[in-house]
Amino acid sequence: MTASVAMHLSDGVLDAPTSLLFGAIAAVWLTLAAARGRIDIDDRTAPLAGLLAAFLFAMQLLNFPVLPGVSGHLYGGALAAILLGPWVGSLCLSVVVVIQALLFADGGLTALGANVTNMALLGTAAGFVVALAARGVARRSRAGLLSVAFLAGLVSTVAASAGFVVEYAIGGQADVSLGGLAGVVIGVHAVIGIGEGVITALAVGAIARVRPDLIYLVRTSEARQPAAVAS
Amino acid sequence: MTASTRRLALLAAVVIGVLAVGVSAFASAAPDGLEWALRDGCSESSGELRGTCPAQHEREHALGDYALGSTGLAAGAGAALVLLLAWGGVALLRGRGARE
Repeated sequence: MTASVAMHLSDGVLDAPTSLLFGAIAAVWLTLAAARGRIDIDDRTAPLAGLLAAFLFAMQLLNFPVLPGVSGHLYGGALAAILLGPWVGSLCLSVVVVIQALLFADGGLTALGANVTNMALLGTAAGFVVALAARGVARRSRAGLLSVAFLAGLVSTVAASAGFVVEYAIGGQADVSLGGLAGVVIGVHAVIGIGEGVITALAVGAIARVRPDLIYLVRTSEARQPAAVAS
Repeated sequence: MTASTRRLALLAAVVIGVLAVGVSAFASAAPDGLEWALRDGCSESSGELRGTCPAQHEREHALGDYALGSTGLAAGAGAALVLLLAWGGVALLRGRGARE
């Protein structure tokens, strides 16, 4: 088993001011998420958030091969957003990233802000925006729901990796071509994103079959008829 | 929590435990996507990165050997910890919201 995890940045890759900047961005985002997330919380949310955080922690250890000599794994931004909404989903993912950095040496301590920004903020937000834009499709049929979950998973992975490229453009330590780095980072995460999309769709599909009412994306707003996606 | 939710939560906890403790031992040991991309431009020779690439600036984690590592049991303990923190944190947020 590998100890390194996709999109978990180590210490030293970004300079100190950039690390501080993204630490501040992450702190502001988490404060906002805690404030706004309260309205999304009901009886089901806390147990689901706990179980999802544990599931994501376990799945982030399960690296699957994507190219010769390269692996990837589910990171869960879109899954968290689809099941819990963007705010609570984001908090849930942050718990995973923080515990990995503090107790498992997985992701640097100075890079924690960048890692939270990429995964809990950018990835979760991008996955949710895609899912929200296609919510009509997700509600229409099971195939629609799975397709939307796949697409949200794919986009969230690419968005999180693009976040790293922006951070590197601001305060990367090595003198490398930014265009070349962007191509490699985003390119490999587009491939990993296919796996992310497949696992996101499988997980959402499994929950839709037994408890569609747990899926935030299809149960909120006017159409509170989640049973439609279970058939 | 309803009986149905309790059953589902129990089943999910068992699946997570199996994933964390057992199946994770079979995960690919190849570098992950980011680590691989950060090494682009370098070649590895006797443990050292030669050339120019972002990974050359990576520093050892501050926790060093004190980190819990990634054995199956540590992974299981980590999964249990994040379960408690996320569950408790969200429950706390809800409680605070209800009081306001």
